Amino acid sequence: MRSIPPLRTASVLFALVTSLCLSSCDAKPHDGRSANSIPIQHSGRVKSFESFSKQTVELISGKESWQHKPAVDLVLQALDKKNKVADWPWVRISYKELLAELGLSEERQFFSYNELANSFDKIEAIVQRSQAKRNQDLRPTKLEQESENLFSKILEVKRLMSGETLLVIPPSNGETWISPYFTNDLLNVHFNKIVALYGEKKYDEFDQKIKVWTDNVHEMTHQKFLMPVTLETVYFDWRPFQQAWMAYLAAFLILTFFKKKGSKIRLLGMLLLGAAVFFHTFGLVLRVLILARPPVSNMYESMIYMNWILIVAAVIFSLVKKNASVAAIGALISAIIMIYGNLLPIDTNLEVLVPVLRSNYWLTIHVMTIVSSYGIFGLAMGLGHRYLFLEMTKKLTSDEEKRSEQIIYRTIQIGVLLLGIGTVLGGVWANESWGRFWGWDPKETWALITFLGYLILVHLKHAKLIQASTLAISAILGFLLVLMTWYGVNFILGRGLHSYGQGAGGMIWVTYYLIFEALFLGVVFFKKIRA
Amino acid sequence: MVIIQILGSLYFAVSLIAGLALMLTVSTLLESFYGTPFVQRYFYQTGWFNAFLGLLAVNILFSALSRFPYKKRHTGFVMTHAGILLLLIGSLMTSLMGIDGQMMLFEGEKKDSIVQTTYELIVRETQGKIIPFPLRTGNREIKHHLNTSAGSIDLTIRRVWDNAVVKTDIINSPSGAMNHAAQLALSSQRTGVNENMWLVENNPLDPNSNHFTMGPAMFQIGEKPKVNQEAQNSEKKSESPKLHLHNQDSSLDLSVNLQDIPQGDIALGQGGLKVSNLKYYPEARVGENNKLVNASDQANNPAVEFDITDPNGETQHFIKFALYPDFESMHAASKKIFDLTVELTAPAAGSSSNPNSGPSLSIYYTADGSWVYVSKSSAGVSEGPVKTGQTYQTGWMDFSFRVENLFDHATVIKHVDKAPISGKGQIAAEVSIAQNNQTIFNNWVLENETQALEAGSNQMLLSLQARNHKVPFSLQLKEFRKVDYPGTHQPSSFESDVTLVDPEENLTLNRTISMNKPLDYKGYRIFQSSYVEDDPSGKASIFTVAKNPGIIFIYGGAIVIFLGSFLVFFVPPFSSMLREGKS
Repeated sequence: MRSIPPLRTASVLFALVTSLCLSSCDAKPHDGRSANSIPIQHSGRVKSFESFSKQTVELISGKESWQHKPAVDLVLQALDKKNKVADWPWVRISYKELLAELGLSEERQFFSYNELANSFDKIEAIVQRSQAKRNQDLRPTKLEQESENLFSKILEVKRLMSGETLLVIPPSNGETWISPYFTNDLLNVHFNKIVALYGEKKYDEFDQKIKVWTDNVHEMTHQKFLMPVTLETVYFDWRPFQQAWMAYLAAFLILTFFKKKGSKIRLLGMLLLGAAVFFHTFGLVLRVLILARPPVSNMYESMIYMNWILIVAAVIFSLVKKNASVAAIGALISAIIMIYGNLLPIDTNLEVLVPVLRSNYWLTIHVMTIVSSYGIFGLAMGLGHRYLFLEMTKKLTSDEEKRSEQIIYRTIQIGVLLLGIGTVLGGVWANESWGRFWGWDPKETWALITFLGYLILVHLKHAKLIQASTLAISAILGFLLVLMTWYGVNFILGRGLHSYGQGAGGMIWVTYYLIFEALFLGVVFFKKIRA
Repeated sequence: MVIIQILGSLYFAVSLIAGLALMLTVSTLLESFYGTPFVQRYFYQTGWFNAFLGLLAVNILFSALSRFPYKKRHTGFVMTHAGILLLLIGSLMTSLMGIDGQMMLFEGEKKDSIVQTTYELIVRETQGKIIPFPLRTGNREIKHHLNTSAGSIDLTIRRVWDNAVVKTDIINSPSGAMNHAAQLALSSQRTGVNENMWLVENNPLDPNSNHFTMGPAMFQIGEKPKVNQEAQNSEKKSESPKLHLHNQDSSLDLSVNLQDIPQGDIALGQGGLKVSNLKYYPEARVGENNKLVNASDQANNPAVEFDITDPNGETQHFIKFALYPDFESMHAASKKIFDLTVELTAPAAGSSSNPNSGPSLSIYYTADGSWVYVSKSSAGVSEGPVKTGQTYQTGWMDFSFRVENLFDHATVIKHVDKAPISGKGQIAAEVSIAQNNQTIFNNWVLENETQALEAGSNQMLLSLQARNHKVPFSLQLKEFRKVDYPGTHQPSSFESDVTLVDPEENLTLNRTISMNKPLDYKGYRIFQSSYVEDDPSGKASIFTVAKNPGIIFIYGGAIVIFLGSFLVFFVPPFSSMLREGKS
């Protein structure tokens, strides 16, 4: 392809900006950063204060910050001036119907605890009704679901104001940590003093006291939580996935627009790709170490892991086939998936697991195999786009055509094997855990539908009944089946045994993707008919 | 031969696979609308669906046979296809010969049988003779002939439904006794409520049907109360707020009228405890320094605050909100000096802790045969006469109700119907019994409900029971444990210590069964599937006990398929699927 000068310049600039961004060095006034690493017990595990604060603030306000103030700063301020918190307009209600129901202004999105105080009984009544529906296995209305969300937000503010959630003192016996606001010993006074120092803006003393506190806690817990808390701080400081997607995008641009073999800029592209894979792997390993579990327990984690398989497969294919464009297309898709992952409101939190998903050998292998196949099919989808794009923009030699066809088919073969093995392993796990191998659960049924879809493709290709472009189109259509199995079953159908992998929302972004594919395939068909 | 060629052809295979994928897509969509029981019943467990899978097996078999005699290059192809057949055979064996049941054990309890999901009709004679009849869901009549001590009897199972619901029809029969009933259709656009309800003054099948609660709202039917009764009610409504303190054995018990708080400290019991700084806030708000302040004299968020001090000077501070009775328990983590129960009753509007003040709608009949309604809510009372077919506003949010029927001679008739397609039902069998060609019984028999009939001079009892399957061992639950994630009520694991005894082998095993760690014995697998924690009889474990004879073929088939696919995909010499002469 002939390269276009402005695009070349842009990609170099982007690459430079990206490499600068790799070290985040934003200078801000004191934002409570030194408190980040206070160990705190929250939702079943000991985590960093930063992680706790982000989750609390996100639950209440929908974002990890509010009014441009970082979460840790907000929580410290809230603790210092508890009486003011009830007036902070930070409880987000975005559903208009609910606002109307509660008689609140539909112009606003954010309300304070006190403003909502008059509506508590109303909200509670709706929540009770909703729970009654859930108990009968009925789906609550949107209004009821939103009321449940609001109810948990209000509860969270209340718990923060009472200091109840602030489990920062390790217990002398037992596993449940203690809040300084619920005990009457010296630690209470000590913690209050630290928080007061923050309020009085005596930051040096504050930093010092925090360090002493944190060290003491680690000493009391025999350093048991030192590693996960430290790693979590590293995870939030480095934001490895943020770095990775920028590097992926830059690598894609360079490797695509600079074709000259052995040039310095292309070397930079390769290095950026290497850095991206490094950050990606680093982030993945950090999550595994922090949570002490395989990285496939919720939608966000499975996206990150699927993406990792995708890029590793792409790099291996490029090396084996000596074709850097496979890695380039892999980098592009990786960047897109990572951006998607950050856009989707699927919980990015580091949370604990329901019993059925815990510590099981078969389950881990089952899920990791299945999600690996998604990664491989994702690569096939990307390669399908690449092939169809090249076919439209230039005349392909029969050799090029054959090589592309072969590589798409190979990926699909590997994907089919992984998906098949993964599905059967799911049956093995179900049989080991519940005593049934197959039960037509929607998730397993959709895995089978996806498998059958690719199976048709494999049969037709093996009998040499389809051409390269049909294969490429099928790779794209097949990925839509994967998407339905992976995301759609939990988010759209919303039923079945696998619903613990559930979250909500994100539909709009999936819809954008579907529109893109419809347009892309529409153009492909139009060109084919014209030709 | 041509037929076999077609049945084993690639085109047929592709059509079948595509057809199956399409069918499954439809079934999952149906499941999302109508629920899992619906698709299990009308899709996956139907004859036609399994016949379709059978057709797929036929296709695979013929396509594999049509390559015979096999060459080396067919290895992968034959393996994959034989593997699928093996897997399907295994599934068939499991569904025909497998056993699957539940065993619920309380701690200390011992059982040697499991409860299956299939049912039988049990006929019990007075002499204690018990005859079970298997039940098969459907409308097919099955006749049995049995000899009882009262002579020979013809028993016909006419219909068996596993999604039956017992419905009551309410009709107005002027010849019947005086009994009032009203049918209301309640609706609200805002909340999406669309509820049709019957209120029956005197229902022999359900004594509670003279009222109905929905969330905080209450509906009732009755005779119009006399005026002074109403007045009494409204007096009750304006009852003054009260604080009630007591401990478990009631050695401490104190009631304070908060409208009229006495000056100074109040003694609590004989032990020298005293209540001080007692303050009442009709509308409490959290103000400066986390202190409670009063926003108005309207009882919108009543709260009370006080200290309790013992003779040694130990003090505990209490805050209680009428609307949030649980709030205090949230403080339970703090050190408790005095183990007191604090109750605050206050006339709060719409308070959930005070059912008297929730919205209510009453339909009253009067002595002269006319009907009226009275609707109460925090906004006030609305009332007026009601007529069939008219719609009235309740005055709460946008709730309105339409009067569908008003009966004064209501008679309740019971009948068995099928549940709506997405709903759950229970098992019911329609049984008729004839003696000497004369029908002596013809009725529906339901689970947990015994029907009695007279056959000659003898009594017979009919009932439905989940089938019990005896297992060749007994299981006793020693202890059940649930472990939560620290600091939460989220379970992280649950497990049971059990003793398995096999009298035949003279064997005793002590094992722990947990989620994902079943116990295997004589082809049976015992899984920890659920638990009961807050039953008055104690903790119980629910085990699934299953025998899966086809699993070895399923696992074997899967392994063969993947070895075969590997050969087909990556080892060219073993990978052709083409027939002789076409290569």
